[in-house]
Amino acid sequence: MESNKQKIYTILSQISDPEMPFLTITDLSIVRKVDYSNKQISISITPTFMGCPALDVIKDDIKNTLNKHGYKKVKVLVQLDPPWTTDWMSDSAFKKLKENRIAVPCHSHQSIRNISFKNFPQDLNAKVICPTCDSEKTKLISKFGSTPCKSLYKCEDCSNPFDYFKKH
Amino acid sequence: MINKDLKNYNLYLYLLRIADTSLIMSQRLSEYCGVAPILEEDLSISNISLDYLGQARFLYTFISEEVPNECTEDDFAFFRDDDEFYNLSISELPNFDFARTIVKVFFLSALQIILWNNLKKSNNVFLSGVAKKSVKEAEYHFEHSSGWINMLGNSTEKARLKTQDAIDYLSPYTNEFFVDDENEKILNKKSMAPLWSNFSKEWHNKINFVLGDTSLNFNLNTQFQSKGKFGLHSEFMSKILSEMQSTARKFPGCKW
Repeated sequence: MESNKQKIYTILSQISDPEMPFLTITDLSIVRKVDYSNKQISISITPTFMGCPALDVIKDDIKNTLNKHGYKKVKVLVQLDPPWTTDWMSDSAFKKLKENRIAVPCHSHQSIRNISFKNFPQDLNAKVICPTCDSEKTKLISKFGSTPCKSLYKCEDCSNPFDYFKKH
Repeated sequence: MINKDLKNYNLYLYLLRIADTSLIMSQRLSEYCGVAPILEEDLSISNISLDYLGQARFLYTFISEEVPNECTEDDFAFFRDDDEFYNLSISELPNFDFARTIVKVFFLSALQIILWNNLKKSNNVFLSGVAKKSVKEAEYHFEHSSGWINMLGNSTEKARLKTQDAIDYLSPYTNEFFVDDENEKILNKKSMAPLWSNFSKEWHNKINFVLGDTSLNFNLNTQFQSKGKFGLHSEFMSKILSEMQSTARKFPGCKW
């Protein structure tokens, strides 16, 4: 049984995220649980954001890919609790993000409750490191970016604009 | 789609109040797509709109899977008339200008943070799951709108006046946030959901904390109470619905 699960997991680890194709859904730890019994597979996934438009695509990709590998009965369940967090992302995911010039979630996120808004739109997440030149002198351009999980930043040393994968 | 004979009617009605508010908010904010004052804000408002849509979809899907008659999330969004919607009235009001839009997000996200934080403790597993996820999103919306309130409130006299106007126009609609009815009381007794009347103090503290850094004021001297969450809507409701629902109704079952 365990080896079957392992096989399925290996297949899943080849499925790309539709919006960041260099990452797989297992890099992102979207896949929470794999069950296999009586030739019936049930897979639980956790969306990064509730309104994530990629969720339906991911569901279809999982079904189609497993079908191609001969698994016909596939059920994909959406599990919200515990909510997805960037802490679950693998080291390889962080490496791939950086290689693709996306800043990785930093761990000094300050909570909304203790801050003043005087410095808006200054950065609330103290240290976002530029993925191009590793400088800490970065500036928030927009809290919302090309996808719900990213914001836009600019590096003040190398002047490159870049995406930041939001810590949450 | 839901009626009083259903076993969990109280829960469904409670969920529809939240889901409908999110859906109508989402539809209103989506009107900004492509026309926001700056590109970054265009992205922000579209993203916030998407978050609201996600919340609504999860709740509609949950209800549609529970009720005996066959229906989907789409039926809830596209095939109900205005008296079957239970959104807070503030969500259906037109955007009018940027100040009013931001103040609306500011008021509603503050409410949502408190609501979701309380619902995390619900003994209903689905509800607590949605709440844990949504509270993070609401905090982000509040952070964003608070930033704007601060910036506009400390900016030119014109910006300050417009923002104060927006607060004065929208504040009477916040009375509705904190009114309970029998439905909420029944659920509260079963430890499924909190009473919204308990949120009032925390909500005002949140709002005033942000306004405190500006010269803007929240002064509310009216007993006016809108009744959107009880199914009684303003004139704007049928217009927003007709725009949102016309395609689905003209071509039932159509697919992209």
